[in-house]
Amino acid sequence: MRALIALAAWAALGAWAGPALGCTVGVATQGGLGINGSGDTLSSENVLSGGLVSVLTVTNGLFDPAYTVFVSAPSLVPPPGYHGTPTVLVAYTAAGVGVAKTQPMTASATSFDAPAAALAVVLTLQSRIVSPDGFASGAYQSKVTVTCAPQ
Amino acid sequence: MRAAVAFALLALLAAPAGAQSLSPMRNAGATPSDIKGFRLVVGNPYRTRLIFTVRLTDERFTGAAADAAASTTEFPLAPGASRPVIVEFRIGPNMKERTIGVCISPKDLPGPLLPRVCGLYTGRRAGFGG
Repeated sequence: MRALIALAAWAALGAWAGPALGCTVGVATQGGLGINGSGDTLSSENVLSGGLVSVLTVTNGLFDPAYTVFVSAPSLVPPPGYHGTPTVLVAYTAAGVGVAKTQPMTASATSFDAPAAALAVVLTLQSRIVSPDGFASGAYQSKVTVTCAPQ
Repeated sequence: MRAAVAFALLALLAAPAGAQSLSPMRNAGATPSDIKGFRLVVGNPYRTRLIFTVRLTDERFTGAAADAAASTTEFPLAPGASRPVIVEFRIGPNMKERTIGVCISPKDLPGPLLPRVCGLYTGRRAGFGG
């Protein structure tokens, strides 16, 4: 059964070009932020203004052990000259065999465990930057590191 | 089976643009001296050439590991290629064993997400404590 799931996953990951041992983390969609109507929130949830979710795939080798996925606290990459202190948040859902995790919006680092049978897990992340005083013009980015590591 | 099919569909929607692998993800071994080394293999299983960075950390993958070194800390990998990386670290004079983390991530990946793969490697001093 595990072999079947692995083959299905690898076949679906059409970009795969060679043998992979251990855990892999791949970015499928980097995502983007859109601003809301009142101008105080940049979020991937604001799809009408360009917001887009981020999607990653974590895969594990057939004979590799259970693993933990760490999602760092989000940080702000502001435009030059911006000195505000907005709140930066991230939320995500993780889905895979033996994994069903929903993380509400948080400014903290989080993690979840995946069993060895979870040969692939798809993470869908939402990012949000809230500044009650609004935003100066420029490009803003929320940065998150997603880590796969053995338990 | 339904879960496998559903998952394959999810994965189809999530074909990665950049990723990395690290093998083995965990290893341990003894050393007759106070230095322990491991040979790891970093792979690029996808169809994009990527530059990878190697970072030696503590067991929680946060701070930098002291008295530790890697044979290379930055290198390009062609699609489907892999290459060995040798890491070594010193086990303190009063320590029976020491574990470090090794994290691999792509360099200068644009966008809000930084994917990272980490492993744990333990060196044990042979004959410590009699």
